[in-house]
Amino acid sequence: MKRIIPGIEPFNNFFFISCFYNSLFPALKFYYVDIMSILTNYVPNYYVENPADFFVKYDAIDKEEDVLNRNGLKYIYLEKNDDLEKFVKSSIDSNTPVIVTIDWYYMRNQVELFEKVHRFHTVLVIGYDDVKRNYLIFDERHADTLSYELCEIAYEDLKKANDAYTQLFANHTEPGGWQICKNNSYEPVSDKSIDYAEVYKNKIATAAVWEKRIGVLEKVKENIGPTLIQQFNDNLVEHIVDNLNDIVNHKRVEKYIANQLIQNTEMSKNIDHIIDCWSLIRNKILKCSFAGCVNKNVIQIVQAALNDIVRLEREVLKSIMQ
Amino acid sequence: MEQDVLYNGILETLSKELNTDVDDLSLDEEMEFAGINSLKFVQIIISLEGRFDVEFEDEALDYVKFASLREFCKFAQEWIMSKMPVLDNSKE
Repeated sequence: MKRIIPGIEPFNNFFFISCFYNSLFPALKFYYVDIMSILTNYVPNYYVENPADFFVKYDAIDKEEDVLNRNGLKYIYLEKNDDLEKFVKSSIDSNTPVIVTIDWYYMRNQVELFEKVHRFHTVLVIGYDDVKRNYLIFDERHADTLSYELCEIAYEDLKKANDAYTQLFANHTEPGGWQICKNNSYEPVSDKSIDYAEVYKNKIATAAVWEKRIGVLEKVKENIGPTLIQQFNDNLVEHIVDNLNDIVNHKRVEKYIANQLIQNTEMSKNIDHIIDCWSLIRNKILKCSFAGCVNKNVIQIVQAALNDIVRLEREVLKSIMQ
Repeated sequence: MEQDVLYNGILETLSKELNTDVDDLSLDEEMEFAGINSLKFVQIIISLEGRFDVEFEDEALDYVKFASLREFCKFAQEWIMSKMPVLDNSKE
Protein backbone atom coordinates (compact mmCIF):
# COMPACT_ATOMS: atom_id res chain seq x y z
CA MET A 1 0.00 0.00 0.00
CA LYS A 2 1.21 3.52 -0.80
CA ARG A 3 -0.05 6.58 1.06
CA ILE A 4 0.96 10.20 0.67
CA ILE A 5 -0.50 13.27 2.33
CA PRO A 6 -1.82 15.41 -0.52
CA GLY A 7 -1.18 19.15 -0.85
CA ILE A 8 1.90 19.48 1.31
CA GLU A 9 4.99 21.31 0.02
CA PRO A 10 8.61 21.57 1.20
CA PHE A 11 9.70 24.86 2.75
CA ASN A 12 12.71 26.60 1.20
CA ASN A 13 12.15 30.28 2.01
CA PHE A 14 14.75 30.53 4.78
CA PHE A 15 16.39 28.80 7.73
CA PHE A 16 14.81 29.68 11.09
CA ILE A 17 16.58 28.65 14.32
CA SER A 18 17.12 25.00 13.31
CA CYS A 19 16.23 22.33 10.76
CA PHE A 20 13.22 21.46 12.93
CA TYR A 21 11.35 24.50 11.57
CA ASN A 22 12.01 23.53 7.94
CA SER A 23 10.16 20.35 8.89
CA LEU A 24 7.42 22.10 10.89
CA PHE A 25 6.53 24.91 8.45
CA PRO A 26 5.26 22.63 5.63
CA ALA A 27 3.00 20.98 8.22
CA LEU A 28 1.67 24.34 9.46
CA LYS A 29 1.00 25.49 5.91
CA PHE A 30 -0.75 22.19 5.23
CA TYR A 31 -3.18 23.07 8.07
CA TYR A 32 -3.47 26.68 6.80
CA VAL A 33 -1.80 27.92 9.97
CA ASP A 34 0.14 31.15 9.43
CA ILE A 35 3.86 30.57 10.08
CA MET A 36 3.90 34.11 11.49
CA SER A 37 2.43 32.54 14.63
CA ILE A 38 5.83 30.88 15.17
CA LEU A 39 8.04 33.61 13.71
CA THR A 40 6.52 36.26 15.97
CA ASN A 41 6.90 34.05 19.04
CA TYR A 42 10.70 34.33 19.13
CA VAL A 43 12.70 37.45 19.94
CA PRO A 44 16.08 37.39 18.19
CA ASN A 45 18.40 38.82 20.83
CA TYR A 46 22.07 39.54 20.21
CA TYR A 47 24.59 38.53 22.86
CA VAL A 48 28.29 39.06 23.34
CA GLU A 49 29.71 36.77 26.02
CA ASN A 50 33.29 37.84 25.51
CA PRO A 51 34.89 39.78 22.68
CA ALA A 52 35.41 36.56 20.74
CA ASP A 53 31.87 35.28 21.03
CA PHE A 54 28.90 37.19 19.67
CA PHE A 55 25.76 35.47 18.46
CA VAL A 56 22.01 35.68 17.95
CA LYS A 57 19.75 33.64 20.22
CA TYR A 58 16.00 33.32 19.92
CA ASP A 59 14.09 33.76 23.16
CA ALA A 60 10.57 32.32 23.16
CA ILE A 61 7.69 34.54 24.26
CA ASP A 62 5.17 31.71 24.83
CA LYS A 63 5.59 27.94 25.02
CA GLU A 64 5.48 26.55 21.50
CA GLU A 65 2.75 24.07 22.48
CA ASP A 66 0.59 27.05 23.50
CA VAL A 67 1.16 28.72 20.13
CA LEU A 68 0.12 25.52 18.38
CA ASN A 69 -2.89 25.16 20.66
CA ARG A 70 -4.06 28.66 19.79
CA ASN A 71 -4.03 27.53 16.17
CA GLY A 72 -5.94 24.32 16.85
CA LEU A 73 -2.91 22.02 16.63
CA LYS A 74 -0.91 19.90 19.02
CA TYR A 75 2.15 17.67 19.12
CA ILE A 76 1.97 13.97 19.93
CA TYR A 77 5.41 12.70 20.84
CA LEU A 78 7.07 9.42 19.96
CA GLU A 79 7.72 7.79 23.31
CA LYS A 80 10.85 5.73 23.99
CA ASN A 81 9.21 2.33 23.64
CA ASP A 82 6.96 3.24 20.72
CA ASP A 83 7.38 1.47 17.40
CA LEU A 84 8.52 4.05 14.84
CA GLU A 85 6.91 2.34 11.84
CA LYS A 86 3.56 2.05 13.61
CA PHE A 87 3.79 5.65 14.89
CA VAL A 88 4.57 7.05 11.42
CA LYS A 89 2.14 4.93 9.41
CA SER A 90 -0.83 5.50 11.71
CA SER A 91 -0.10 9.19 11.49
CA ILE A 92 0.12 9.24 7.69
CA ASP A 93 -3.08 7.14 7.48
CA SER A 94 -4.89 9.97 9.25
CA ASN A 95 -3.25 12.64 7.02
CA THR A 96 -1.01 13.83 9.84
CA PRO A 97 2.57 14.78 8.99
CA VAL A 98 5.30 13.48 11.30
CA ILE A 99 8.67 15.00 12.17
CA VAL A 100 11.33 12.38 12.88
CA THR A 101 14.63 13.14 14.57
CA ILE A 102 17.58 11.34 13.04
CA ASP A 103 21.33 10.94 12.87
CA TRP A 104 22.30 11.92 9.33
CA TYR A 105 24.98 9.21 9.27
CA TYR A 106 22.35 6.59 8.38
CA MET A 107 20.45 8.60 5.78
CA ARG A 108 21.29 7.10 2.39
CA ASN A 109 19.60 10.02 0.57
CA GLN A 110 22.28 12.36 1.92
CA VAL A 111 25.37 11.38 -0.10
CA GLU A 112 27.70 13.93 1.51
CA LEU A 113 27.11 12.74 5.07
CA PHE A 114 25.93 9.12 4.69
CA GLU A 115 28.25 6.85 6.69
CA LYS A 116 30.65 9.78 7.14
CA VAL A 117 29.35 12.22 9.74
CA HIS A 118 27.14 11.81 12.80
CA ARG A 119 24.83 14.81 12.91
CA PHE A 120 21.51 15.57 14.52
CA HIS A 121 18.78 16.45 12.00
CA THR A 122 15.02 16.26 11.48
CA VAL A 123 12.96 15.23 8.47
CA LEU A 124 9.24 15.50 7.76
CA VAL A 125 7.56 12.23 6.81
CA ILE A 126 4.59 12.74 4.51
CA GLY A 127 4.02 9.28 3.08
CA TYR A 128 5.03 5.64 2.83
CA ASP A 129 5.20 2.89 0.24
CA ASP A 130 4.78 -0.67 1.56
CA VAL A 131 5.84 -2.23 -1.74
CA LYS A 132 9.20 -0.48 -1.88
CA ARG A 133 9.35 -0.29 1.94
CA ASN A 134 10.23 3.41 1.68
CA TYR A 135 9.06 6.47 3.54
CA LEU A 136 8.43 9.66 1.57
CA ILE A 137 10.08 12.55 3.34
CA PHE A 138 11.01 16.20 2.90
CA ASP A 139 14.76 16.55 3.33
CA GLU A 140 17.59 18.65 1.93
CA ARG A 141 19.14 17.40 -1.30
CA HIS A 142 22.49 18.72 -0.03
CA ALA A 143 23.34 19.28 3.62
CA ASP A 144 23.17 22.87 4.87
CA THR A 145 21.38 24.21 1.83
CA LEU A 146 17.80 25.30 1.31
CA SER A 147 17.16 22.41 -1.06
CA TYR A 148 14.28 20.62 0.67
CA GLU A 149 12.47 18.26 -1.65
CA LEU A 150 10.60 14.97 -1.72
CA CYS A 151 13.00 12.07 -1.07
CA GLU A 152 12.64 8.39 -0.34
CA ILE A 153 14.27 6.56 2.53
CA ALA A 154 14.01 2.87 3.40
CA TYR A 155 12.00 1.93 6.51
CA GLU A 156 15.12 0.26 7.94
CA ASP A 157 17.33 3.29 7.33
CA LEU A 158 14.96 5.73 9.03
CA LYS A 159 14.67 3.34 11.98
CA LYS A 160 18.47 3.07 12.24
CA ALA A 161 18.85 6.85 11.94
CA ASN A 162 16.17 7.42 14.59
CA ASP A 163 17.65 4.84 16.98
CA ALA A 164 21.09 6.34 16.50
CA TYR A 165 19.72 9.77 17.42
CA THR A 166 18.36 8.51 20.72
CA GLN A 167 21.60 6.66 21.50
CA LEU A 168 24.20 9.17 20.31
CA PHE A 169 22.51 12.43 21.17
CA ALA A 170 21.20 11.46 24.57
CA ASN A 171 21.93 14.96 25.89
CA HIS A 172 19.45 16.43 23.37
CA THR A 173 16.05 17.05 24.89
CA GLU A 174 14.09 16.77 21.64
CA PRO A 175 11.86 13.71 21.32
CA GLY A 176 12.48 11.13 18.60
CA GLY A 177 9.34 12.12 16.74
CA TRP A 178 6.38 14.47 16.66
CA GLN A 179 3.00 14.06 15.05
CA ILE A 180 1.62 17.50 14.18
CA CYS A 181 -2.08 16.99 14.46
CA LYS A 182 -5.37 18.76 14.90
CA ASN A 183 -6.28 19.40 18.50
CA ASN A 184 -9.98 18.70 18.63
CA SER A 185 -10.32 19.89 22.21
CA TYR A 186 -9.43 23.48 21.26
CA GLU A 187 -11.25 25.91 19.07
CA PRO A 188 -8.63 27.42 16.79
CA VAL A 189 -8.32 31.17 16.95
CA SER A 190 -9.31 32.70 13.65
CA ASP A 191 -6.33 34.05 11.72
CA LYS A 192 -8.03 37.42 11.43
CA SER A 193 -8.28 37.81 15.19
CA ILE A 194 -4.48 37.91 15.58
CA ASP A 195 -2.77 40.98 14.22
CA TYR A 196 0.78 39.66 13.79
CA ALA A 197 2.02 43.12 12.74
CA GLU A 198 0.97 44.41 16.18
CA VAL A 199 2.55 41.40 17.92
CA TYR A 200 5.76 42.00 15.98
CA LYS A 201 5.81 45.72 16.74
CA ASN A 202 4.97 45.31 20.44
CA LYS A 203 7.12 42.30 21.30
CA ILE A 204 9.95 41.96 18.81
CA ALA A 205 10.59 45.11 16.80
CA THR A 206 10.82 47.24 19.91
CA ALA A 207 13.21 50.05 20.78
CA ALA A 208 14.53 47.95 23.70
CA VAL A 209 15.39 44.97 21.47
CA TRP A 210 17.05 47.20 18.90
CA GLU A 211 18.98 49.28 21.47
CA LYS A 212 20.33 46.05 22.98
CA ARG A 213 21.27 44.79 19.52
CA ILE A 214 23.05 48.04 18.63
CA GLY A 215 24.85 47.98 22.00
CA VAL A 216 26.19 44.47 21.26
CA LEU A 217 27.24 45.49 17.76
CA GLU A 218 29.10 48.54 19.12
CA LYS A 219 31.01 46.24 21.49
CA VAL A 220 31.79 43.79 18.69
CA LYS A 221 32.94 46.66 16.47
CA GLU A 222 35.39 47.93 19.10
CA ASN A 223 37.02 44.52 19.49
CA ILE A 224 36.71 42.90 16.09
CA GLY A 225 40.38 43.33 15.08
CA PRO A 226 41.97 41.61 18.12
CA THR A 227 39.02 39.18 18.21
CA LEU A 228 39.64 37.91 14.70
CA ILE A 229 43.36 37.55 15.26
CA GLN A 230 42.69 35.67 18.52
CA GLN A 231 40.16 33.39 16.78
CA PHE A 232 42.71 32.56 14.10
CA ASN A 233 45.39 31.87 16.69
CA ASP A 234 43.04 29.58 18.63
CA ASN A 235 41.69 27.82 15.53
CA LEU A 236 38.19 28.97 16.38
CA VAL A 237 37.29 30.54 13.04
CA GLU A 238 34.71 27.86 12.37
CA HIS A 239 32.85 28.97 15.48
CA ILE A 240 32.74 32.61 14.42
CA VAL A 241 31.63 31.60 10.88
CA ASP A 242 28.79 29.48 12.36
CA ASN A 243 27.65 32.46 14.42
CA LEU A 244 27.82 34.73 11.37
CA ASN A 245 25.79 32.22 9.36
CA ASP A 246 23.13 32.28 12.07
CA ILE A 247 23.06 36.08 11.91
CA VAL A 248 22.72 36.12 8.10
CA ASN A 249 19.86 33.59 8.36
CA HIS A 250 18.20 35.62 11.13
CA LYS A 251 18.37 38.80 8.99
CA ARG A 252 16.75 36.94 6.08
CA VAL A 253 13.89 35.93 8.37
CA GLU A 254 13.66 39.50 9.63
CA LYS A 255 13.38 40.72 6.05
CA TYR A 256 10.62 38.19 5.36
CA ILE A 257 8.67 39.25 8.46
CA ALA A 258 9.15 42.96 7.75
CA ASN A 259 8.05 42.58 4.13
CA GLN A 260 4.95 40.66 5.17
CA LEU A 261 3.93 42.75 8.15
CA ILE A 262 5.35 46.25 7.90
CA GLN A 263 5.76 46.86 4.16
CA ASN A 264 8.15 49.78 4.47
CA THR A 265 10.34 49.99 1.34
CA GLU A 266 13.09 51.96 3.05
CA MET A 267 13.27 49.48 5.91
CA SER A 268 13.35 46.54 3.53
CA LYS A 269 16.20 48.15 1.55
CA ASN A 270 18.15 48.76 4.75
CA ILE A 271 17.71 45.14 5.87
CA ASP A 272 18.96 44.05 2.44
CA HIS A 273 22.08 46.19 2.90
CA ILE A 274 22.61 44.74 6.37
CA ILE A 275 22.38 41.20 4.93
CA ASP A 276 24.98 42.17 2.28
CA CYS A 277 27.29 43.54 4.99
CA TRP A 278 27.01 40.43 7.19
CA SER A 279 27.48 38.18 4.15
CA LEU A 280 30.59 40.14 3.18
CA ILE A 281 32.01 39.80 6.71
CA ARG A 282 31.29 36.05 6.79
CA ASN A 283 32.70 35.43 3.30
CA LYS A 284 35.84 37.49 3.94
CA ILE A 285 36.48 35.59 7.18
CA LEU A 286 35.82 32.27 5.42
CA LYS A 287 38.30 33.21 2.72
CA CYS A 288 40.88 34.09 5.37
CA SER A 289 40.23 30.80 7.16
CA PHE A 290 41.06 28.84 3.98
CA ALA A 291 44.15 30.98 3.46
CA GLY A 292 45.10 30.37 7.12
CA CYS A 293 45.70 34.00 8.04
CA VAL A 294 43.92 37.28 8.61
CA ASN A 295 45.42 40.52 7.34
CA LYS A 296 44.97 44.20 8.16
CA ASN A 297 43.06 44.81 4.97
CA VAL A 298 40.41 42.22 5.92
CA ILE A 299 40.05 43.70 9.40
CA GLN A 300 39.49 47.14 7.87
CA ILE A 301 36.82 45.77 5.53
CA VAL A 302 35.10 43.96 8.42
CA GLN A 303 35.22 47.10 10.57
CA ALA A 304 33.77 49.22 7.75
CA ALA A 305 30.98 46.68 7.21
CA LEU A 306 30.20 46.67 10.95
CA ASN A 307 30.04 50.49 10.92
CA ASP A 308 27.52 50.27 8.10
CA ILE A 309 25.52 47.62 9.96
CA VAL A 310 25.25 49.78 13.11
CA ARG A 311 24.21 52.82 11.03
CA LEU A 312 21.65 50.80 9.06
CA GLU A 313 20.23 49.11 12.21
CA ARG A 314 19.59 52.63 13.57
CA GLU A 315 17.76 53.46 10.34
CA VAL A 316 15.67 50.30 10.68
CA LEU A 317 14.83 51.30 14.25
CA LYS A 318 13.63 54.70 12.95
CA SER A 319 11.38 52.94 10.42
CA ILE A 320 9.96 50.72 13.15
CA MET A 321 9.23 53.70 15.37
CA GLN A 322 7.31 55.55 12.62
CA MET B 1 43.28 31.16 -23.62
CA GLU B 2 40.40 29.84 -25.70
CA GLN B 3 36.99 30.62 -24.20
CA ASP B 4 35.94 26.96 -24.38
CA VAL B 5 39.07 25.83 -22.57
CA LEU B 6 38.46 28.42 -19.87
CA TYR B 7 34.79 27.44 -19.52
CA ASN B 8 35.70 23.77 -19.23
CA GLY B 9 38.32 24.65 -16.62
CA ILE B 10 35.65 26.41 -14.57
CA LEU B 11 33.37 23.36 -14.86
CA GLU B 12 36.21 21.07 -13.78
CA THR B 13 36.82 23.22 -10.69
CA LEU B 14 33.12 23.14 -9.83
CA SER B 15 32.95 19.39 -10.27
CA LYS B 16 36.01 18.89 -8.05
CA GLU B 17 34.72 21.17 -5.28
CA LEU B 18 31.19 19.75 -5.43
CA ASN B 19 32.55 16.22 -5.58
CA THR B 20 30.53 15.28 -8.65
CA ASP B 21 31.17 14.52 -12.33
CA VAL B 22 31.09 17.46 -14.74
CA ASP B 23 28.16 15.82 -16.54
CA ASP B 24 26.23 15.60 -13.27
CA LEU B 25 26.54 19.29 -12.34
CA SER B 26 23.09 20.86 -11.93
CA LEU B 27 23.87 23.92 -14.06
CA ASP B 28 20.36 25.25 -14.45
CA GLU B 29 18.90 24.61 -11.02
CA GLU B 30 18.88 27.11 -8.16
CA MET B 31 22.30 27.37 -6.53
CA GLU B 32 21.29 25.57 -3.31
CA PHE B 33 19.80 22.65 -5.22
CA ALA B 34 23.12 22.42 -7.06
CA GLY B 35 24.78 21.92 -3.66
CA ILE B 36 26.03 25.46 -3.11
CA ASN B 37 26.19 27.12 0.30
CA SER B 38 28.40 29.96 1.49
CA LEU B 39 31.21 27.65 2.61
CA LYS B 40 31.36 25.67 -0.64
CA PHE B 41 31.05 28.80 -2.74
CA VAL B 42 34.02 30.49 -1.10
CA GLN B 43 36.00 27.25 -1.61
CA ILE B 44 35.09 27.36 -5.31
CA ILE B 45 36.15 31.01 -5.59
CA ILE B 46 39.49 30.27 -3.94
CA SER B 47 40.08 27.28 -6.25
CA LEU B 48 39.29 29.40 -9.32
CA GLU B 49 41.56 32.18 -8.08
CA GLY B 50 44.39 29.68 -7.61
CA ARG B 51 43.83 27.92 -10.93
CA PHE B 52 43.55 31.05 -13.08
CA ASP B 53 45.73 33.39 -11.01
CA VAL B 54 43.03 36.06 -10.60
CA GLU B 55 41.26 37.64 -7.66
CA PHE B 56 37.49 38.01 -7.63
CA GLU B 57 35.82 41.12 -6.25
CA ASP B 58 34.13 40.89 -2.83
CA GLU B 59 30.64 40.93 -4.33
CA ALA B 60 31.42 37.72 -6.21
CA LEU B 61 31.87 35.90 -2.90
CA ASP B 62 28.10 35.86 -2.32
CA TYR B 63 26.43 33.00 -4.15
CA VAL B 64 22.93 34.43 -3.69
CA LYS B 65 23.77 36.98 -6.41
CA PHE B 66 23.66 34.17 -8.98
CA ALA B 67 20.48 32.41 -10.08
CA SER B 68 22.25 29.22 -11.22
CA LEU B 69 25.66 27.63 -11.65
CA ARG B 70 25.47 28.41 -15.38
CA GLU B 71 25.03 32.12 -14.62
CA PHE B 72 27.99 31.97 -12.24
CA CYS B 73 30.12 30.13 -14.84
CA LYS B 74 29.42 32.86 -17.40
CA PHE B 75 30.28 35.55 -14.85
CA ALA B 76 33.51 33.76 -13.85
CA GLN B 77 34.47 33.25 -17.49
CA GLU B 78 34.00 36.95 -18.30
CA TRP B 79 35.79 38.04 -15.13
CA ILE B 80 38.79 35.81 -15.75
CA MET B 81 38.96 36.85 -19.43
CA SER B 82 38.91 40.52 -18.40
CA LYS B 83 41.87 39.97 -16.06
CA MET B 84 44.03 38.15 -18.58
CA PRO B 85 46.81 40.08 -20.33
CA VAL B 86 45.84 41.22 -23.83
CA LEU B 87 48.26 39.93 -26.45
CA ASP B 88 49.50 42.58 -28.83
CA ASN B 89 49.53 40.94 -32.26
CA SER B 90 50.24 44.10 -34.21
CA LYS B 91 53.37 43.99 -36.33
CA GLU B 92 56.07 46.55 -35.90
